[in-house]
Amino acid sequence: MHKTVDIDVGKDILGRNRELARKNHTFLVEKGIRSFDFVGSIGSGKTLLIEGIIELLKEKGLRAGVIAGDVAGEEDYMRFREHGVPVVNVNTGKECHLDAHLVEHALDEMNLDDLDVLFVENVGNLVCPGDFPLGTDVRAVVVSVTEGDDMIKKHPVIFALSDVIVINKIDLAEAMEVDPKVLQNDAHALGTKAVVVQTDAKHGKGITELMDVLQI
Amino acid sequence: MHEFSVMSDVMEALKEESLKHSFKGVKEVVLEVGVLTFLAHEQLRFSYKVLSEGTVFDGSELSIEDRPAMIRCESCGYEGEGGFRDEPGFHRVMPTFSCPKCDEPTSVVSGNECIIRRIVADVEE
Ligand SMILES: Nc1nc2c(ncn2[C@@H]2O[C@H](COP(=O)(O)OP(=O)(O)O)[C@@H](O)[C@H]2O)c(=O)[nH]1
Ligand SMILES: [Mg+2]
Ligand SMILES: [Zn+2]
Repeated sequence: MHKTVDIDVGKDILGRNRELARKNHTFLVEKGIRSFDFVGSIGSGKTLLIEGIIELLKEKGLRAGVIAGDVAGEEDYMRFREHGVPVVNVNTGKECHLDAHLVEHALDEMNLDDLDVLFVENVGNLVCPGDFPLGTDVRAVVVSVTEGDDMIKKHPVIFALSDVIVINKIDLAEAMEVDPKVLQNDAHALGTKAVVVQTDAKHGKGITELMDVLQI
Repeated sequence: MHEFSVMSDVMEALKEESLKHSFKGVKEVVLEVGVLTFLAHEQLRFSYKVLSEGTVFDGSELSIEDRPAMIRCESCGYEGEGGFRDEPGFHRVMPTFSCPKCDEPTSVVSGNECIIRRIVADVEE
């Protein structure tokens, strides 16, 4: 004889990643490393912003390391290497995002002993990284004016889940006929605690302000 | 975009439950998916169909329920559902996480889960 049962499972499938993220976070905090995760569209300026910060950190005598995530290739990895900082390249293959598990492995590969700051550049994507926190202190999302003025309206959730919103390429705002204020207002309309910073990574503008916000 | 890989993990967990309870047949699986996730329900359903083929879950119904976004306000202590406001000009609903009581910015507490809530199955008496 069979009987029908109704089982309460209560298992969060995305919770495993969050647990690993917490583990990464505890590990980094114990090492005394401040950590930042940069998400944003392909070409929004994530790499250039991190490069700019790395150089200014050097002036402060602080050492940074980078985990460079990309679907494929070594372009960003090579760019970071030029700055003489430790870099681990993570190719996700088909996956559309980094996850906490990949970051855990990358941390294993990196010599963290004299690092003060760690940057993680996520795969260029405004959607999927939202489901996968990595365990950094701060998640920054980068949007550039060359993507138009409606990216926050189109992808509100990833912006709402981020701690810092960077509006980049403001040097091109006029040429694009995009008013950064529209993005700025949309960011505020989300009603989260996210701090908004405008930057021009190409000419090094706003990087110091961004570092103030990141508290480095 | 990652519905298939998330559903693969769901399937693994479902199979564990099946082993634990020796399911003879499965009628229904209920998932609770947070409204702040990027998991499209249609793609979850499709992945479930493909991944359950040939298993004890084959042919069972997958029910997907929304889990609301919960927010916490540190200014006034409000804890509750986060608002979505209509943006008529854009024909879309925009999330807004400002406090419904005091309008201060809040923190998101939940709404990004993908929870296997229930399994309705037949087992040996
Ligand atoms: N004019 C201008 N170009 C920028 C700015 N930031 C990045 N770029 C350029 O945009 C392109 C993509 O930048 P990159 O940092 O590789 O973007 P990522 O894909 O987000 O890492 C590169 O050619 C950069 O030089 C900026 O603020 N202003
Ligand atoms: Mg890059
Ligand atoms: Zn409040």
